[in-house]
Amino acid sequence: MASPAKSHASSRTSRSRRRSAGAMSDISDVAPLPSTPSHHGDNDMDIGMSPGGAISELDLNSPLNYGTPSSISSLRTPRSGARGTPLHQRPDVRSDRKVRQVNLGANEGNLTPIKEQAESGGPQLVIWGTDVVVSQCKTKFCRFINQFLQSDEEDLGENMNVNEPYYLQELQQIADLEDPFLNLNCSHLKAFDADLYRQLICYPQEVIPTLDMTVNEMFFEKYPDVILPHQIQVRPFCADKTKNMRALNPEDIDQLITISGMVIRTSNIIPEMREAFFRCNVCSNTASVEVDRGRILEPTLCAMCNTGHSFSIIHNRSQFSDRQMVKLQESPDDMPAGQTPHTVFVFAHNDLVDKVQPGDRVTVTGIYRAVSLRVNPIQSNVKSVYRTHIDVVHYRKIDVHRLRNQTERGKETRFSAEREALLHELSKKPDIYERLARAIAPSIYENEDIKKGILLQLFGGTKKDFTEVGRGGFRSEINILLCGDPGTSKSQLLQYIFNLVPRSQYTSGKGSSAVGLTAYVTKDPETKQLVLQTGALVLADNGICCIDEFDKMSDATRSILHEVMEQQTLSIAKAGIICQLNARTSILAGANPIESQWNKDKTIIENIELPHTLLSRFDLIFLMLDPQDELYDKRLARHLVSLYYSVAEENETDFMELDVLRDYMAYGKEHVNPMLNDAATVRLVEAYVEMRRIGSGRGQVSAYPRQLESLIRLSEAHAKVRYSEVVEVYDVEEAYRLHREALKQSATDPMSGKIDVNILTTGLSSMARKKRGEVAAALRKMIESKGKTSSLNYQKAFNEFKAGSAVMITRDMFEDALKDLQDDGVVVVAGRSSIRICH
Amino acid sequence: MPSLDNWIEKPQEIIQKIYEKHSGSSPWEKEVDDYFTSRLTNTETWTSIPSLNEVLIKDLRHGQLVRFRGMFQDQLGPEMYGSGALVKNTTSGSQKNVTGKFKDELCLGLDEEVVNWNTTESRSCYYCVPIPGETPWVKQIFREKNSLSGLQPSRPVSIGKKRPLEEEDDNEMMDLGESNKRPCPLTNANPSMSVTNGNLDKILNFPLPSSESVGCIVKIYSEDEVPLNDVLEVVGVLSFNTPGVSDDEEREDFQPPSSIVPRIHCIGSQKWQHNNPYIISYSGQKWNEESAAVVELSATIRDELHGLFTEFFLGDSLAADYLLCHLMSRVYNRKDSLALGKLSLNLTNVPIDNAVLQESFPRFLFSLLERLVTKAHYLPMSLENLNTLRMIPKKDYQENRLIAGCLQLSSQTHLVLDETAMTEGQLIADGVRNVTAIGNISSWQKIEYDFNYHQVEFHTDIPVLILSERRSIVATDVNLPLRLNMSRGRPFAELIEKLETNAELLMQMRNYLTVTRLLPFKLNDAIQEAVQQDFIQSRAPGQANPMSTEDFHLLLVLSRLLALTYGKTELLDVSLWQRAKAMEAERKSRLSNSSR
Repeated sequence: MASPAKSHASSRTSRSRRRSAGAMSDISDVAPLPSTPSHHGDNDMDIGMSPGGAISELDLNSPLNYGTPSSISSLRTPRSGARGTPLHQRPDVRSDRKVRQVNLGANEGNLTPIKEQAESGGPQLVIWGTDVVVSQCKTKFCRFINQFLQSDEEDLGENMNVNEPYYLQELQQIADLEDPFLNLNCSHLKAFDADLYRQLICYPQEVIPTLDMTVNEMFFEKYPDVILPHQIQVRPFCADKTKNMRALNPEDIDQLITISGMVIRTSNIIPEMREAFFRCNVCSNTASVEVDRGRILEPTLCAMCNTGHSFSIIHNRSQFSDRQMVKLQESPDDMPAGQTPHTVFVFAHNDLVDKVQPGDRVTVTGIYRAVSLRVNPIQSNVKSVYRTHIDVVHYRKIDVHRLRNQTERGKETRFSAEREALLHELSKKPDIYERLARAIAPSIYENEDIKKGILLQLFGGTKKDFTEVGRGGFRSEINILLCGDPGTSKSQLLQYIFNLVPRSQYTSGKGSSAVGLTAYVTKDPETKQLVLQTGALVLADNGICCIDEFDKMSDATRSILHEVMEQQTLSIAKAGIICQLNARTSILAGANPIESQWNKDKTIIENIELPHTLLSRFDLIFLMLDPQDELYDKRLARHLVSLYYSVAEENETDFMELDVLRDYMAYGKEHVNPMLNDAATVRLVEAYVEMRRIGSGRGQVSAYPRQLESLIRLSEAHAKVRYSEVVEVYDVEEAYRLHREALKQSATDPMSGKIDVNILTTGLSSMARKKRGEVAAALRKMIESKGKTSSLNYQKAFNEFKAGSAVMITRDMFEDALKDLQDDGVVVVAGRSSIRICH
Repeated sequence: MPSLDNWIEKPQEIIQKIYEKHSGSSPWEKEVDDYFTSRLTNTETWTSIPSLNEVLIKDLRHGQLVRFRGMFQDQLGPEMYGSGALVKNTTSGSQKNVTGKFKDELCLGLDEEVVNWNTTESRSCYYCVPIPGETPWVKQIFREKNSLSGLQPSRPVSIGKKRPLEEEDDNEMMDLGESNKRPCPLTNANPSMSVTNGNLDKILNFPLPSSESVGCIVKIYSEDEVPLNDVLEVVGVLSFNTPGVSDDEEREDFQPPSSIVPRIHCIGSQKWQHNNPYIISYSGQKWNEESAAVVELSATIRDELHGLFTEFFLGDSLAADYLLCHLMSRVYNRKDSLALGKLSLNLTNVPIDNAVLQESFPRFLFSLLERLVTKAHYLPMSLENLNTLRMIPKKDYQENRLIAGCLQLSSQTHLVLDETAMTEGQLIADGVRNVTAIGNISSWQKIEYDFNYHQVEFHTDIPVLILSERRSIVATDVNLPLRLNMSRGRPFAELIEKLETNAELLMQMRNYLTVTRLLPFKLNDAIQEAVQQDFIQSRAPGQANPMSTEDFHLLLVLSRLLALTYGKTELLDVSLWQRAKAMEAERKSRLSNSSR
């Protein structure tokens, strides 16, 4: 609707107003301002670029105008009044401030207060103390919007076209959605026009309004009919000058910075007066005064009736805007050891109020400010301390959906491009798997396979979701159990993993390091030993739960683990409501043998006395035994001594730094989702068949689908380790090897010396089962030989059977056999003393 | 040149003079630095500065130099301040440059006003508390040293009115020692503020209750950050300026009244690796000399101490050895999650008789240790204490400060836990957390401070000694059942008394304990080889008691500590290694006996 002529006219008026604004500030009284300290040198000339005194075209319709003051025109929407898009001040940028002390850098040679060169097209102004030429700035930004193409497809949102100027599409979206904010990625601007970018960073207070102005002019030219809630505001983000909170210093004052941290407190909404409305008590003449740096200058003399000090403030007709104070704390990753986290204050204005909640991790782009403490007028002493805060112009939440494991648009990885490049480069190394395995707990000697297993656990398998076909999600987490002699540094290994993985829990089946909610102290009356009985187990979703002394865990706690380890959920029944929580946690457990040492003649079940139902849920079960072999001992001894008495540098080159390791894992876990290729699938099937065949030779099944699932997970994890999107045969081979290795250690039948998965699945090796069957048969024979007798004396029968048997029969074996017979309906055991025979 | 008194009394004048000389441009800070460093390097002048720990606040003046020894308890975040201002005299019209460094506010004349702030800089602020757990004898000796040397030069004859106060001061100094907690005199313009005792505790925020009642905010101008819980002695300009009235009711910065928590603008500081008042050096040549003198006597002093402990343990010489080693322990290195060099000790079989609690064996043992070491804390591990005491420091976002817990201790503060106080009962969530924290310190020498949204791990170096009836619920490195010969009676009080009488020996013991644990230690290749061989041999097939990895870890630590008790910085032969093995063997046999 707007004709070009009209728009030209309006830009002309803007020029004239600007000039007058300049003139005004020239004569405006300049008080010594501690508020915006300039650190470049002496200066006492001030100027503001924003025109303040302009009369609004928009009249106040309602005397009650809280929240969204709209009276001050600042030329940002040229034809706002006519179009119905109201103007809002931007308290974040403080563009409405009339007086601003400007720093004069040494590099500015040509300091003419206001240079106006009559160029065709528009006004050109150099803002005092800066090198910002308004008209140039506008042209440049206009060009940027018209020409900038988003090359990186990843950052591109839905419905965005790579071949069209990115920000024009954004403007289109603004028109469609009527959401008048233009988010400006500073890295785009930097790539396109480094000079404008620099100006934006150094003089945001001047440049952002200029950008606003440009965008609005362009927008209303393109979409003259659109009525927005208010004029478009540019919100720059991702300023390159990203600062660690710790690195903020006086040089950053009044510059655009981007910092990240965690929100720890948000205040209530504070109505902040933007413009005070006064009325003369004598003649009812009204006057409005803008708030300047938190102070209102009450008009002393009424212009109409010339009465002095006759004004009183009318609160209802004053203008307020929303403000919120947010406290941001340094994220734990940025903190050096032995320090407490730093905090900064962030002020959010208008629309940005209540955009973040405590606990959110955000990246804030804003202008760093320093404000002096109020001077006590009575004292002659002057405070020299400033308070600092950030006026936020843009929030960006990090990891909003961390809990849900979704990747969403524009999701920020914690890694810089260089870091990612480094990680990828690392992943290309042929020995990355071994290298990483070595980097895990270097202080623990050897046990390479265990470390490899743990490494795979840290990466985890690929997440699969079959909810749509009704199967539900498959577990991608890998569970590992370490059993072994006491004193083989299992706890150390668990502790190390606990320290390595961000979301991890360390708990102990018993003892002091349990992380229950409450506990009970009891005293054994005989030994007077104090025992701590712990409460609930705390599990972290998406983390690793390290459980030490797994065998000492109470049955109640263990039963919870059954569900957690297979279904990855946790059911809680309280007050008649059953609630299922996600607990996608990998379990790394350590268990000690019942006897003081691992008994090689017993199966794993007998050694650690854990129910086999639980054991079968572990993908890998390792034995950490003291091998007691001289060569091993020798190296172990050297390793341990060097731990205590080595020169620091020795280890540095050999091992990967901890934070690299951590990042490598985090990146891999999050970004790599390998899929099986055909060859790998075939190999997996082969491996599985092979596993089953080993058992079938003895008439037993030795592998179950659960083992196949484990194999798949392990292969996927292995592919993840090298950042590969495809699971190849090579991955399956290693997974199979590791799986076999673990099986060899844990499921070896002490009687036959062969691997027997049945130990893990039924708690009994096939040999043992066979033997038990034989005993039962012999007993049956004996009973049948008794003929017609209807009952036997228990003790007598046992003695007779023992005497008649060629092999040693224990009471347990006898009882087992009896039980079997009872199951078969041959006998009924009546109490402890007699056995009834059924005929 | 200004006189000695002048730079202590009025450092600001000197700083201002130098600032004006350079009109605030670059070398002025270096010159200030040089000026004070040249004076502070001399130990005597350093000690001539009055110490805030010993001198009452009311005897100190705003703007003078003071010393303060304390632990950095909390980091308050950086503070931005105007470091240079142009000040105009409205009557004469003359202008001058004034620095805002080393002060909280500019002191201007009535006719002066700030024209402009030229420069802005930032300084880091820390909250500093008197060293938690500092034992009474350390305080006593510091008091003797500092009240004599500290006050005299700070009382220049020129200020005549201060003269008559002298006698009074000394009296009050004694009072301070006796009375536990006296309210602080209010020194400046805040008369309406009366501080009750409970409130005072909250403001002071000491990890442990202390007889001292002053903390301070130290403002540091150098770039390097001080890690939390470090012990430093700082020298700086004392400032009593009241905190600024916040113009923003929403801001909740930690701004305690300066009458209780004065500000010190740090000019110089010294990191203390020990707080033994007899030994005045901490590093360098002087330290080498002082420590060498102590090490020379170490063999005899060791025997004395060992004898004392043996008598105390009613003839249990093994326990005496382990206790000695425990007192030597210190985390000297960390490898991944391992803290090397620590030796947490659990003495079991502690007699529980019907004696009054004050006279119980753990109490006596603590009061003995308290007379020997420089930092110690006794904590009865009762259910009530575990459930109610704040042990883990917690960030209070409302007040914006780290609320101290009794486990926030500086390095080498001996923590003596008395588990005989434990009874059966329910441990609530806090109690479980506290037990976990104690366990973490004992096993890993680390503690996780509670920052509400996340935990922050801090490394500790707190030797833990647990006294219990049977094996403690907290895991320790060494568990030793005591073999007390009860027929010897209860000579504990007498032993302590006897110790007090021999001041010379007592001092030597104290110095011995301070110095030897800080000695560097190495194991030469030959011994390393021998030790490894020993390990391999013990694990050869057919050996009765193969050495496990954990045994080996423990032996490596134990042999190191044992050598240190003899003042040796190196193992010259395997004799001490064998001693350590023998100690372990005896301990193990005791363990298996007692469990039967």
